[in-house]
Amino acid sequence: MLIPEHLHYTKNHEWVKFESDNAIIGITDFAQDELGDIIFVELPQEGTTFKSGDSTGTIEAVKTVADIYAPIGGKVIEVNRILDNEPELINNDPYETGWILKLSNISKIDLELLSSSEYSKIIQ
Amino acid sequence: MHFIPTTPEEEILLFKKMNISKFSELINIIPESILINNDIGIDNPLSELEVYRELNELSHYNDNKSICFLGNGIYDHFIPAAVDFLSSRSEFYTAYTPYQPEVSQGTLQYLYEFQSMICELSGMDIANASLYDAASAIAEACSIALAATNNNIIMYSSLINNNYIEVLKTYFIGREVEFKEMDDDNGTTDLSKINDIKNNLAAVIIQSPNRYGLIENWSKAKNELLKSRSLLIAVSDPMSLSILKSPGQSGADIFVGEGQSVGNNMQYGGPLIGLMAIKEEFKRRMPGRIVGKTIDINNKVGYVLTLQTREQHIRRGHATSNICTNQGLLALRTAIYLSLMGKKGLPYVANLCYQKAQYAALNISKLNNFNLKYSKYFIKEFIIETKLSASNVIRHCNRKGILIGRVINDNHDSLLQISITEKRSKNEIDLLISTLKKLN
Repeated sequence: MLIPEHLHYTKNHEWVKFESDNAIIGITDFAQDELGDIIFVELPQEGTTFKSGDSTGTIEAVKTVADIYAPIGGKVIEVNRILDNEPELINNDPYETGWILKLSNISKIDLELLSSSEYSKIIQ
Repeated sequence: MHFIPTTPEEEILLFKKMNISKFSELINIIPESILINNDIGIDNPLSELEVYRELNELSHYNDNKSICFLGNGIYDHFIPAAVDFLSSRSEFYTAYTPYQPEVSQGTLQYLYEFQSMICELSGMDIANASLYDAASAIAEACSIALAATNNNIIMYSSLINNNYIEVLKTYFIGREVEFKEMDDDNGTTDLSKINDIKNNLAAVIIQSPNRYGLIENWSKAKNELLKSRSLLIAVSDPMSLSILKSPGQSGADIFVGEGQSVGNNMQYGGPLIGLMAIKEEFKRRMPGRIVGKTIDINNKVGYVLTLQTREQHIRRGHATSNICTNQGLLALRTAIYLSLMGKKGLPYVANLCYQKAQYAALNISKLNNFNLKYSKYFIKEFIIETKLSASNVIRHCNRKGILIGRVINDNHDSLLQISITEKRSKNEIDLLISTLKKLN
């Protein structure tokens, strides 16, 4: 199970990568493995503002659907449109090409984000 | 016949296990004070012959002699005998639509054909296998719009069929949806309000022909919405669509309609059949059933429910809709009717309605006390204004065996609604005209 050290994590199995003033968000290797084959990702509209903990969209796998929760608040400036046609990227490459959305105007980190070692304990 | 799956012997075994001696002991938790112990007013059982006699007696109250000029959503179109004959074959005739592809290729194929025809008539990308009626289909279309836009205002034309508006509002009780009404501007919808409320607008609903029978301008409504995410929901009658610019061509995002007019009886108001077709981008929010065409491992064509499991089995709480069924038998009748009429027959019938309705409206408006209330841009239904009491006119015509309609919210008691289908002969229309002429 991959849990890269340079990322931050949530108990809901999202990862966050801070890049200048923005945050890139995706779901973890553990999450994609639990979901199984992902067949559809419902992405939010660009420009929408979310509070931390809001549902920003859904990931649909063959047997279940999961919410994508915002690990921090912010405004959606970009979504990964490639997922519209290749949702399986999240299965194959959850931390790079399988990223989901990018937030700007991010709130002060009001949700407790976890380090990779803390997150690895949760999923054991 | 018993409708309970246990035999008396099994019941005794069950009671023994539960340490009781009779059924009433099982429900003795219900307080005596709320039990009904007296006669509830149902007569004693009747024999088959007695039931037959009673129903036969009641059937004499049916009015099957009057000439029908009623409409307002349900129309008296002709239905070829082949529709009744084919749809009542035992292979098809069932109250419950079997969807399992292993045993239902025939059912799935006719639903697929039905969907293709609805797409062609509406000019949209994807149709479902039908919904209950136009009213609930409009509400389902709003659910799609609310979910797709994340907005919460629905703006509807006050000239949508009044029943549809009632159902729409009832459907969303308890949900945070705000309704706004567009006014009536001399018989068609005043679109100016759309501009005032662009924020948070999920959808605009416009029916054409509207409840006065007049043709509305969907394209103009779509233009008002161009820079927003809001959807245009176009409501129509499939018979009229055969000669109108389609919702798809007019830029509508969702088409919904009432399929009663194409192959289904009036049935004293129901069952009806809701039609829905959408642009491809909304396919994952489509309610109900969608039948798709595919090939099996031997490369043979087969039909299956498509995206079947997502809404109810997988998305559950996230689902846009809870509708898991369709109006199978009426979809079959619709598909048979549309196939019989074909590309030439359907517009031919619609054109007959148009010619006859224009003839009727022209001649009624020549009478002293009657005039055409709005423009002549209608297909088969129009509103007549009278200087007499409208309710008296309607009552008088009914006594003469001529059924004409009243108009909802007609505060001045001055409006009559008249619908003319291809079934109305010139003699029947002339009888209506001469009956009105004698009134003063």
